[in-house]
Amino acid sequence: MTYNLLAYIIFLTLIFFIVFSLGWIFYQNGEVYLKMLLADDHQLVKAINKILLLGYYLLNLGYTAVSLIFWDRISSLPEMIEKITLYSAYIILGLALMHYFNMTWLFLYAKYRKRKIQFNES
Amino acid sequence: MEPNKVPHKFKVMDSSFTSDMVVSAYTIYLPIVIVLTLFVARILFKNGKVFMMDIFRGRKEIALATNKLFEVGFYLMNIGFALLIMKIHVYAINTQEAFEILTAKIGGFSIYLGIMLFLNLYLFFRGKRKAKEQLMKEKLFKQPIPNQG
Repeated sequence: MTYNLLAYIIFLTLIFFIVFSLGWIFYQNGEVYLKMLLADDHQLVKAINKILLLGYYLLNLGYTAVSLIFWDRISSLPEMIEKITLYSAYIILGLALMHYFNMTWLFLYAKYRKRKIQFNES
Repeated sequence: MEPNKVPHKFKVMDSSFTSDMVVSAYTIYLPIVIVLTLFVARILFKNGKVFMMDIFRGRKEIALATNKLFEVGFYLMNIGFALLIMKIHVYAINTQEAFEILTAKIGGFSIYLGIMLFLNLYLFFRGKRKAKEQLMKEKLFKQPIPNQG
């Protein structure tokens, strides 16, 4: 087995594990926000939450898989460890960026919505 | 072994040199930074619940969800950064040099982690202050005003 193949297997296992466990956390904790935004329509909230989870999996696993084409040839063990951590770091930082972007968007939207309600009431 | 692509100002890469020291440095570095991040995040967000309850005025469900999401963000950002700075650019090192490089990396990372910790703490205090201001305003006007932040 070449180092490349071994590295791909470790990398994909690691990232898939991270993406799946994160997706599960987001799915569970995101429901509250959707309820807040969509005025307690439970069936709609569940449906939207599931579709969002699916979209998240597709996007992240997709770009993880696509990122494999950028790998060079690996010829030693330390190089393999470096490559795995470097590309994992890119994927994890990408996830972090998207996560913070989503949170910011959510808070801004909640703020905007409350202002609108306040404006309509007064 | 291929010569390393990144030039180093002190050493010329010797392709016959063994790189065992680098591998053992990595195997020491990775568990330390990951456990450090987990430990710091655990403590920060265990105590962050109190702030979140204040910010969301006791609405427990949403406070805990927000706390959890911030915790996950903290893990992602800091472990991602730790992995990003792991690479040792020169393979031909002895034990002493490996030790020095390792301490520099782990020390630098823990300083970064400390800065992130205080940033998060600042955000908590800011949220708490805003929630308090909102409460004061409502007391003043004797009617609920929709939360601005």
